[in-house]
Amino acid sequence: MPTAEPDLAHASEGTAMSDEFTINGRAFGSRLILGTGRYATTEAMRAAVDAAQAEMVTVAVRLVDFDAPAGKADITEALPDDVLLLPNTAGAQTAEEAVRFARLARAGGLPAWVKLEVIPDQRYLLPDPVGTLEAAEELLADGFTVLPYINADPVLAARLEELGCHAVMPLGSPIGSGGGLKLRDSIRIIVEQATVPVVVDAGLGAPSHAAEALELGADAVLVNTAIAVADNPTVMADAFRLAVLAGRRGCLAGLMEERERGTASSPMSGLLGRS
Amino acid sequence: MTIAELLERLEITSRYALVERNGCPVPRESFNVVELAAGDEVVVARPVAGG
Repeated sequence: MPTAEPDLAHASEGTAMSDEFTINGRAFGSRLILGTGRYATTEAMRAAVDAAQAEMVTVAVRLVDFDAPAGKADITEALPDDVLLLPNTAGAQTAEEAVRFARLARAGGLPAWVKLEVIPDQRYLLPDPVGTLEAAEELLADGFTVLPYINADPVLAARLEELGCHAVMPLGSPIGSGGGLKLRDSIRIIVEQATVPVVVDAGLGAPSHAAEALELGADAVLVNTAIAVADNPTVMADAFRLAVLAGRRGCLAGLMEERERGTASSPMSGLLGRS
Repeated sequence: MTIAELLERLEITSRYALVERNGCPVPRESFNVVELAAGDEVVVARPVAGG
């Protein structure tokens, strides 16, 4: 739910306006979280992260290829030092696998945060709610900051929040599909009921989708494919940044309600040519 | 051989090396301390680009 209002009357683009949201005590000024996958080059990815002004990005965990050139840098070395690295459990099909990925990442020195993904379904990449609940419970008990990726199921979101999850990440539409907020009505319910941040993640295909998510009251969005596969990822990242700002401001400014009938915007008195 | 020495032998010099030994994650701080034994199964992973 949108909370304290920043001084919008004096805000201009680029001003340090405090409209932060916090996850487990950590404040974020940017409401655009980036995935780092699917970019043509590492340089393109970094340029997008910079243009987005992202303060948190996801990374995946994968086996080292011992046949590959020695001394190869890992992806974190291409990222700004002050960006929070959010390890995901992408590839995990069970709770057990997800927990394993998260613990491995933490042991190796990555932040004890996890974007929890338990995805047995390879066609639509939809998350398994049961596996997600199981893994969340275990990881929370183990001291992780847990951000579960879920279908936009308000009851599931509430259950994960009750367990202690530090945010919920409902999908807009399947990962990489660019379908936008197909589940907007359910996301709206989650936003209404959640007392932890709501990050709409997956399926956002255009800046307008991100703006809409923020207008609905989501606290942030996570975007990967739409930026990575754009003709110009740097410009697209900036477009998403602006869209997130616009959507957030629209939300805070108080959106009008949709009406079925028309209501004139110009006065109905003093009409020329009327008796 | 310690895990640190193994990583050096494998020429893994990335900022993050994520290591499991016999199914258990090994804290980075222990890489210099943990001695590998014959038959140990070691898994080495690293952070990669991903959503």
